Amino acid sequence: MIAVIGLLIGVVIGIFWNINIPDKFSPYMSVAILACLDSVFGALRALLSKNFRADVFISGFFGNAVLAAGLAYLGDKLNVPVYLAAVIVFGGRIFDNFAIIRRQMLERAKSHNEVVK
Amino acid sequence: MKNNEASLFILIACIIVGILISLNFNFNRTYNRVFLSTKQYQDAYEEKNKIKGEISDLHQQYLVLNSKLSKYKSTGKNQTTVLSSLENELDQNKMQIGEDDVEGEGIIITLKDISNESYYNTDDPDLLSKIIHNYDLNYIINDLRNAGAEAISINGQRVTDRTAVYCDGALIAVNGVKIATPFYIDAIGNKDVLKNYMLSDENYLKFMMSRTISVTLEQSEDVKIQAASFDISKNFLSAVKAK
Repeated sequence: MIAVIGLLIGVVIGIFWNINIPDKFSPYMSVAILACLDSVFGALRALLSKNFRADVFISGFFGNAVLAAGLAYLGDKLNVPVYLAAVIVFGGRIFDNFAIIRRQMLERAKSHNEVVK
Repeated sequence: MKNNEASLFILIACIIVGILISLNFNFNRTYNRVFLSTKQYQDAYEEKNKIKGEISDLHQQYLVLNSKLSKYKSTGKNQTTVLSSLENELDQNKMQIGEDDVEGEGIIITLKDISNESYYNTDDPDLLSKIIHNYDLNYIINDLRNAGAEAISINGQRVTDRTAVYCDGALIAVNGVKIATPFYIDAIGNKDVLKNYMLSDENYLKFMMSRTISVTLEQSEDVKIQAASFDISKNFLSAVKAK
């Protein structure tokens, strides 16, 4: 819930805040966004399983983004599509995390229902 | 408490992600990638080259004009230099519009039709195609200009921008002067280019040859073309006033 609200606020700010990223950076930005999304999902999962640590989250959030963008840049220079690795890893982790979040939410809803009964 | 803190962090992180995503979206809207087929790519490439050529031409022109301007400026006090260069330019312009006699390398085309032969059968169904008409001359003038001829005359009549080639019964009127076959068309320009162009297969001269009209084309180092004999003064023209 909180993530959706945050995303909406961010998108609105981004639309009204008229800044264009130079086209050179666009592919790297995409990879960085993927890394950030992965961190957010990881944080949500940690929140649900109650082992969230702010330092881990923040370092992962920025560190992953920078590393992913940097690797994509390096890959471009070396003519190796390293960004594919980032896309696969982060994409896979996003789905993993989402699966865990989904399970826990369902679990919680189920137990809540049982309590109500 | 810890839960709230975590929520706050996630909120901030989500805002950042949202901003990044929307920035990228904005960006994608202004920069549309278009996939081109090979032909489209080639067309675009040719167009690019053409535009580049135009730019460099314009740049060249700019340099020439700029140097002229700076020459005028630097020799502004020396009236005679300015005057002589202006006179020079005037002479050039006069030559080009046909007020002066000109000479140079070029080609001479001679056209003869059957009307100056002694026998000529008026019952011939192809008679019309065996005679040179005004539009034939118009085609040839067009072709010569397309090939880069700088001055053209027909039987001594200079072809200027005010020239009309008109049918006048058995004769053809050029600049209002009636002329008859044979027609001698003089053109000044690069003689090799002119010859090759005029004698190429798709050109009008080939078509005229196929109509049994006698066509000869010779190159000459020194083609002389007279000035236009008619008055080219202006009575109605005036420059558009800049606002």
